[in-house]
Amino acid sequence: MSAHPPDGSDEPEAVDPVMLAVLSNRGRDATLLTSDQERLLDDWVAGRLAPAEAERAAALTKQNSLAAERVLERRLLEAARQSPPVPQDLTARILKASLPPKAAPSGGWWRSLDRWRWQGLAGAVVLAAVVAVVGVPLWQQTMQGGDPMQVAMVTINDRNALFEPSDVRMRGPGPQPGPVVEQRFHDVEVPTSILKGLVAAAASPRSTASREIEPYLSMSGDGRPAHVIVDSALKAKIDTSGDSERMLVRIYDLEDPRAADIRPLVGPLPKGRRIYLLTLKP
Amino acid sequence: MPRAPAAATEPSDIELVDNVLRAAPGAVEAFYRRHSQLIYHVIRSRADRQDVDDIFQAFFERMMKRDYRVLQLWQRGTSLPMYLAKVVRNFTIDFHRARRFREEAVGGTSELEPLSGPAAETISAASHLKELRHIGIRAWAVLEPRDRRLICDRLHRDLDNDAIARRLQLSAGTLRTAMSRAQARHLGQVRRLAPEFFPDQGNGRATASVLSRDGRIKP
Repeated sequence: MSAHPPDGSDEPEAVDPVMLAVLSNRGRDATLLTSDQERLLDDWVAGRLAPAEAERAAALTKQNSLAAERVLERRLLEAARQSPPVPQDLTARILKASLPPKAAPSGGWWRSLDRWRWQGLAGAVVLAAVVAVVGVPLWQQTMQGGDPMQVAMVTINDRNALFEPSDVRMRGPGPQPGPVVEQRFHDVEVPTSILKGLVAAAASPRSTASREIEPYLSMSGDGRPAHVIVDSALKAKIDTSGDSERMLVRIYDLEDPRAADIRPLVGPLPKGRRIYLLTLKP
Repeated sequence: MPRAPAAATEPSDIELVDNVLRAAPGAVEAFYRRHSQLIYHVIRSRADRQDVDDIFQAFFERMMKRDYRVLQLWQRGTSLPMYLAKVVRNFTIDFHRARRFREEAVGGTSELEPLSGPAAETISAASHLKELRHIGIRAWAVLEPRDRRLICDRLHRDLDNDAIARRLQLSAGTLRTAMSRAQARHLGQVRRLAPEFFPDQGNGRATASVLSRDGRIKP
């Protein structure tokens, strides 16, 4: 952290410019950071910047709440890194406790079984064999029957329905925002590699889509496979994302009654599937 | 949105948590290797040294006993380290409350149950930054009036030195000194309220000891 102001500057000697910049953030701007900006902030927290660059990082931190949150996280991790390590005996105790209980030693347990217990055991083995022969194929059929995730692409011409009241930001003090209500969408950072895989799957219907996206969809767990619709505007952004590792994606569950005005935008929907629209934050 | 750093070959925090929740082999150990230092640091910054190891062990025992429910409640896409810091901080506070209760009250263990309640389950997805801003305001509120004015002009009104010097009728040199000290006192208060964001000073809760009761930093 560059604690010293540039030579000739009128700035007072700042004791901790990183924390002061975070504290002076007002949370009005939350523009997504570029990879260059992320690097700048990380270098600033690590104390690797020249004064001019440090001023740029400080200005970004003061203005952008995502920058301030990133700085705060780095700050926390840096402080933890400098902290004394966890004692080894404590680590050993905890990791030992985390292991699943081992089965009891089994040497010679079967020798203690008497005749009628042997018969019972043999019956159980026969039953297990029947289940394995008959049940497993049925189970596999159930699990595989139409289960692969489907991906489609859609071009949305009229995007008015996709503008959310929470996206509107007013300048100046203005009226205080109302109480926070649950949104009909969620914004999630998704690895760009997963998104590229989805786009590729949408482009060639014969290929199977990877299910790596599912943890990000907040699926309801009702057992139905997912059908993911990718907005072509998002595809355009993915194509120009360069080497950025992650991307902010807005996800709508189209079965949510509050998404009724979005469903007509994406055309006919398949039945028996949980349908999600992946789009951009406007 | 910020994330914990992970090398390209290492699983992301989301994958790490997913593995723990589905009891994948080695998942708990991987989670422990990545985040135990942070958890230990947060406890160390908020507890007396002799309690740190006990709280740390109790935290992991609680997580295991409850099938890592605290990780189920983590909102994906937000920072896992920041979330964990908040959970651990609440757990440490609960630990102190429960102990105070044990020392003061007479009764069975059933009376302790409400106090060892699931603090983590009450954590909302509110911005950690917003919480730190509140801490900044609380820290500002206990400063001397002149310090409050200086901090307000600098951090919240974003005035430059000339404007602040004119408002307070101070020379540039005097303002520099006064501002530097005001910022140091303000940060001292912030450190007292949110010590986990500051580097360790070699002793658990050492940060509180450099502040006198009236909130001033002792020389």
